[in-house]
Amino acid sequence: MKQEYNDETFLARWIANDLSSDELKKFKSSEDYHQYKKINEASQLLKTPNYNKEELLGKIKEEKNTKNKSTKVFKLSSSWIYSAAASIIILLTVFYFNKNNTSNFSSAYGEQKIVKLPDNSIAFLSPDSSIEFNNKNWNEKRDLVLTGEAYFEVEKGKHFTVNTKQGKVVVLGTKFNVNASNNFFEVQCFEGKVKAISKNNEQAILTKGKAFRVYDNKNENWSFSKEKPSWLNGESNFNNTPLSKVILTLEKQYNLKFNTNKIDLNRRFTGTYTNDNVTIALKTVFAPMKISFKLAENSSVILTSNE
Amino acid sequence: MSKEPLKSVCDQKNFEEIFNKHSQTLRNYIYYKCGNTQQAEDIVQESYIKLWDNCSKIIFEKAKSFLYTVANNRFFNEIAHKKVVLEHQRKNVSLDRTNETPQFILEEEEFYIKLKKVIADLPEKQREVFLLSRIDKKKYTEIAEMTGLSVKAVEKRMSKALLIIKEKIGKI
Repeated sequence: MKQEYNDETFLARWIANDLSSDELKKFKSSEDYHQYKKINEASQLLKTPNYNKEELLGKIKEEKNTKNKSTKVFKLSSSWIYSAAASIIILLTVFYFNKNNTSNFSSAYGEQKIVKLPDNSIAFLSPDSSIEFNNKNWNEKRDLVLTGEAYFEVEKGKHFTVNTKQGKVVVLGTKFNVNASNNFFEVQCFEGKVKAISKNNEQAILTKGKAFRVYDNKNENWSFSKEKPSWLNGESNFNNTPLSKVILTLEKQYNLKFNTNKIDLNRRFTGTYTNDNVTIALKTVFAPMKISFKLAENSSVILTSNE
Repeated sequence: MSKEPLKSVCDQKNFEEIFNKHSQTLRNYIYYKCGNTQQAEDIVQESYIKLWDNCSKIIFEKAKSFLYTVANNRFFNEIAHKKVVLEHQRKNVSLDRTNETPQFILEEEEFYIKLKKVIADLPEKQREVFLLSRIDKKKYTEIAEMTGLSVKAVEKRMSKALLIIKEKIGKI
């Protein structure tokens, strides 16, 4: 006789305590129930051979360290190789001092990057952005140059300055987002207190949930309630942002080119688009603005106003 | 939205947190597949090294699934499969207080020997699901994530495992 619990997931659901009371009652009265119960109870007391977690972590740390330190060893057999090596070293040294220990990190189209700064502060780069800073005297002068957009979580310490072509931001230890592009400078403060200074010397002191923007030499202030920038979670969010800047982020995120001759770029957009689906993203931005989009042959997107 | 700040996997502290949280189950999971602790721990080590090498590209929340993907891929290359050897805990820790007869204890012992043998003989697919559920106390959704199966498939394998164990124990 075929029994009811022979359905494919019945026993699994029993283990997970997921049977209806009727099912359970029936099962309990079946002759196999006790055997299953015993198997279940006994198997929960089983264990695997000993696992030495600390030892394994030690091994991993060791391998990590040797990897970091590993250098290549060359065998030198004759004197001319020595002189060649010496000149290479001299060249490298000159190069090294000229570069003055500058570190440069940049993210590609559609890519986000996390950069750990020498004092454990962290910079999250949005697509097609870069930061540059001096590694050597970082602890005396926490100064970096940003192109594009980035979110910072700054460790407490001396002044931390983000320089952009459009202005700079000065903080002590806090979390904030900076977005700078041609004619556009936007700072959002997520924790602590930051001072934003635009290139035409407009200043704003921002506290948690406050944002400041300079666009076409005009200032705007507003408040928000997010805990961190939405682009870190796969969405791009805008608050009354000029359409030209929204389109710029779309270009960076999806590696697109837009033809914008037929639309008004000074209109403002408020909303959010997703960073993982280009069609949906284009629809969410352009449908409410009554703009239609069409892919041209040279893979640029042509925008036309429907109004 | 969560209030926790974003964590970088490159941070030593966060890396160790991921290790402490997931390494044991990962090791057991591979052990259930291959029956060789040495091999299992080697794979765990490799997976974590790979995580470290890629730490700047992987967000903290995705580290677990990265580890399982690496380990699963790595496992396909391993050939040697041995049988799983399990131990068991005694139900009564203080034997002087038990009122069970020697006869009963002996029968219990025999039952465990049978059970361990039957589990060791289970096909790998059912064994890993069954042991992840019973020893590591993982939910079906978690097992599905680790193995890359659907929850329904995990439930089927779990049921099948129980059915086989019951039948074989009955026979011996």
